[in-house]
Amino acid sequence: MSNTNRTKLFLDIALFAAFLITMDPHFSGLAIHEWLSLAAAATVIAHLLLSWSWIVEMTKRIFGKGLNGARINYILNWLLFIDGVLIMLSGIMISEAALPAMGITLPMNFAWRRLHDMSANLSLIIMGLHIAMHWNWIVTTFKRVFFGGGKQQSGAMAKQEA
Amino acid sequence: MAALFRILVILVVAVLIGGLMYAGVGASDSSAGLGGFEDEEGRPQRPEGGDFRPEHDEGREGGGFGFPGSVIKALVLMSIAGGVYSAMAWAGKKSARKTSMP
Repeated sequence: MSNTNRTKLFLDIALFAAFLITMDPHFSGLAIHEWLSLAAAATVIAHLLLSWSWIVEMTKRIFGKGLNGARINYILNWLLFIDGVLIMLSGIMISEAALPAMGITLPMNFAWRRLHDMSANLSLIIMGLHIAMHWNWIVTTFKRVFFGGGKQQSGAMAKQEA
Repeated sequence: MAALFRILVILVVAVLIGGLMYAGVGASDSSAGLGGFEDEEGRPQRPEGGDFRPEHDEGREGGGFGFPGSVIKALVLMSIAGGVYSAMAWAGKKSARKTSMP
């Protein structure tokens, strides 16, 4: 079990929890909804940095032969990123807690409010697909981290290397 | 240094996407005459009292961890989307196995 995978798993669990909490401003309150979303955006950057080599590799090979599953995954990840940018941008434009607390007041527009709701609803579908595509990795890494599969595997790998 | 460069790349891409969306929303608003709150001189303003949210959004600022209905809705929708994908992937694998059989 590599440290990167362990870090990725913990980061993703935190990100997923933040995603669920921010999906319900009634539940958390507007201030938590906005500040947690801004923190989650920073966490998304960390999530992307941890997958950077895959992103670069896929960007180079996107038009290559084969790789159908990976190509769908890559396109889906782009859609999720674009949708995430739209959620953040529209959220910033209608912010009532975080930005005013920083002394920033932006002009209001109903279009941003509608876009925020639409993009948030769309993100649920894309996030569901994203998780489904990575389900095997999630289950395997979860088992290794929390149920000691990593030790067994690293032991087996050490034997193989020996 | 490499991490900083990568962060910069991510931010630049996000800014480009966000800029396009901002321009798109601005263009659609000006053509449809929708949305903004403007003063007499046409400058955009926030509505008086800051009550910009729809009626069903009342109490958002209150917080206090009430019943997480939208969290459950989010989990259900994500499960459906994930389930549909998994079913399609499973059906695809099954048909591939059938066609590869002699």
